[in-house]
Amino acid sequence: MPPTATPEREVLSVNTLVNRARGHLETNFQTVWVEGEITGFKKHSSGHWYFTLKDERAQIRAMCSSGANRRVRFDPADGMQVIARGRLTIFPAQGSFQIDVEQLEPKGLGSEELALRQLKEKLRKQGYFAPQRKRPLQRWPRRAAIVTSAKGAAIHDMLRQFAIRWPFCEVVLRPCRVQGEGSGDEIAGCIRMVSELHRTKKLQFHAVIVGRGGGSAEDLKAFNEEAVADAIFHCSCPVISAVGHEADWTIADEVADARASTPTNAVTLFTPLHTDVRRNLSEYHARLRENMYRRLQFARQEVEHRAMRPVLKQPLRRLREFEQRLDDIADRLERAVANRLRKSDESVAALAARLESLSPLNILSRGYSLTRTPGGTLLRDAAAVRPGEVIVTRLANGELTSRVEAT
Amino acid sequence: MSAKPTEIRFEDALRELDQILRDLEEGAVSLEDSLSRYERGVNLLKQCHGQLQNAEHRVKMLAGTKDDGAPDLHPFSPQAK
Repeated sequence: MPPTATPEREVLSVNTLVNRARGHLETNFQTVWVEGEITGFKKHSSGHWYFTLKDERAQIRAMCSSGANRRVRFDPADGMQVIARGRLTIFPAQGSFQIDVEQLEPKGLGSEELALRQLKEKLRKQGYFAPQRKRPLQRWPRRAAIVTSAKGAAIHDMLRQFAIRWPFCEVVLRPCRVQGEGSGDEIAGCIRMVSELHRTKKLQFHAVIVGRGGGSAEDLKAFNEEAVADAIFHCSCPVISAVGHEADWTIADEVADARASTPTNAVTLFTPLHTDVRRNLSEYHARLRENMYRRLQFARQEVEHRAMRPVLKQPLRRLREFEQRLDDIADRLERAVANRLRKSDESVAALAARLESLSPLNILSRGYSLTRTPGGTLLRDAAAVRPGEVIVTRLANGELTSRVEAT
Repeated sequence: MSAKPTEIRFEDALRELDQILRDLEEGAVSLEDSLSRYERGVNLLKQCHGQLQNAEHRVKMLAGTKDDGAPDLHPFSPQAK
């Protein structure tokens, strides 16, 4: 059939056609919500995002301008289920039909939560949470910094806890806002100030406690910000986080060298109880004395052993002088700490009782032994004998004579 | 740290005490040395006890840093809740 010219026939340029179609689409699909999976996601250097949304049966190209994607709180990636809001249009140069996305949300999770997860993942990859970079805390702190609000329960609780447990630690408070817009940057700035003082040795700290009392998830938000994580990560002195209550777990908690469940708990894990420290010192005292007396007993035994062979009487006298000096030093210490140290009296008494039993034979009965050369020299160093030589070992009961195999 | 020159730090004192105890336990030092080490240990303990004497709890407020980087410290008294 020959083609017949139809007078009403209108021939359009491609451009006109595409633009008419675009007009239709843009008018009738001004605002649509669509749900699908992201695939082929690309961030262009212009800042625009390009991707395809698909489900089992169909797909549509999507574009999210740099202006629009600034408001997107998470990082889209292939395979993610999302809900997009936008309008349909045609990109004339390609004749391809697409959705211009104005708003993008992850499906299932709130975008805040997804953003938080993604930030955690990013920081984890950068090693922010690595256990091996956590620094140990000073056990007898002399100065601590606290970054928190100057008002409220947290600072009050911490100062009280310091006073109760370990009042010898100077506390330097760097007050800042801990919630509301911009508080994350403020907290980060305060941590950096403390870090800089410590690094330059203008004012040094055994640790900085960063935290606040309990509140809603919204109230604790600042401690989930990347700026705070960065400041903690780079802090020159150890950081203890103390945010909210036990159940609250923030990014700051993950990055910090130590995490406390509450502000009060932060001070508890950072400071010793002063009465424990006093007891500890008394124990040192007891061990010192015990060791010194044991050392003396060995010496006495050595001398007595020789004295049995009728050679020297002098060393024994010299030893007595030592013992007297030891008692004298011990007495002086006791006088010095007696009034501070009721506990130590008990341990000194116990020690005295123990010393009664420290006769040379009692020492041997605890499993110690004395080894000599046949000439009677007490052996302290394996290098003093050679293989093949004979040695004599005195036990609590009897003596052993042995030949050295190796040294 | 904040320690005055005469103030020995706890961690240093206890580390030295541990060393003294080890020396005494091993018995490798002469009697004379043992005794002087013991005396040193007792002295360290005295100093540690001394540091637990001054229990004035100091709290300061860091207002910022000065031009030379030094801290700008003020007294701080916590307000009631």
